Amino acid sequence: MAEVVPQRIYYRVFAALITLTLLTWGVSYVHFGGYLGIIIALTIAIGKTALVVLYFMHVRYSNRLIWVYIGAGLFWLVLLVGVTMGDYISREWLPVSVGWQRLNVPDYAPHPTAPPVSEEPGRRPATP
Amino acid sequence: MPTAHSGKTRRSTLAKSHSALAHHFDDLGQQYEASTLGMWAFLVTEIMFFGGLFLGYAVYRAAYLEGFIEGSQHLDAILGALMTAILLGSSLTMALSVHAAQVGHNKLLARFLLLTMLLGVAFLSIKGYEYWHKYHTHMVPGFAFHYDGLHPEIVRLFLSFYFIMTSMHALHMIIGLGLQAMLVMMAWRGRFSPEYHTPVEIIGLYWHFVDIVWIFLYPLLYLVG
Repeated sequence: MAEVVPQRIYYRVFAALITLTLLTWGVSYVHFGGYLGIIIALTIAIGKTALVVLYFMHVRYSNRLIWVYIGAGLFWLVLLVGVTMGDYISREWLPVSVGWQRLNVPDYAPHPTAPPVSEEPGRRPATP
Repeated sequence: MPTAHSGKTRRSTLAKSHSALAHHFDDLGQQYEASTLGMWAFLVTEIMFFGGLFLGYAVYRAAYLEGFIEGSQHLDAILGALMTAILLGSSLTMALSVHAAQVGHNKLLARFLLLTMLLGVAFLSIKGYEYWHKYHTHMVPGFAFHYDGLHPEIVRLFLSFYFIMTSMHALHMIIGLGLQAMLVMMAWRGRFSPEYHTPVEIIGLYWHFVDIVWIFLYPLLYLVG
């Protein structure tokens, strides 16, 4: 059977969770450049999750097989988000060939809301 | 049969003849381990379900950050913090419910469960108010959506994510409330004891998981930028 966790531990974890919630709310009013804001917000969220999982969900006192299951779930999540976002974020890091970019210009079928194409022959519309 | 698990002498004879013990388990301890492991297997599939939603959100947020910041400004960060606090409070009372079940206090268990449900209903009421307010200001995509701003298309996309993710979360909470109501009935009938309180434990796991989903939804939806 699961270990009986003393109630005071639950109250302490709850106090920590509320503190971290106030922290994440307060920090959101500070404007960091680039990715720093989201990194701080996600770090706090991961910390809160660790507290809930380890104490409220008793994983700290659970058998190792449950750790394996959770580890498998987290591994999958990291793979899903890491690989996909790695692709999307890094797409513009390396220059692509001019030929590839030209293929992207929809000169064969202008979008209904696109600005009118110049009447001059041989001119392409500006890149959307 | 007795020789097969002589190492588990700490299990009482009561635990081997308990009415809640299914015939294919040796004792209540083994049954408990199997039930919690099964619940965790389910929660891993839930990580996958919500993980897909979070990934879709992340891709579009990375692509249209300015529009997402603009959309997020239409959500009340203080109301969101209040909802977070309410849900964390309900997780605390759920954990205390499990504690009451572990010490065999059925009346206290029912009280803590009712408190958990009350906090859950309070959360859903605020959520309902938010939805109503969004409907009233024509900010529900697909329901007479009308928005004059810098990035109307992206704000609509952001709000679509907001409604899909929070409604999926709310649906999980409604299911959780139903399960807790069932636990309250069982507690009133004195069904739980220090030997057997597995349903309280695994429904607690579910409720805490739903709490964790909100822990991520709050900064990602209400506090962009």
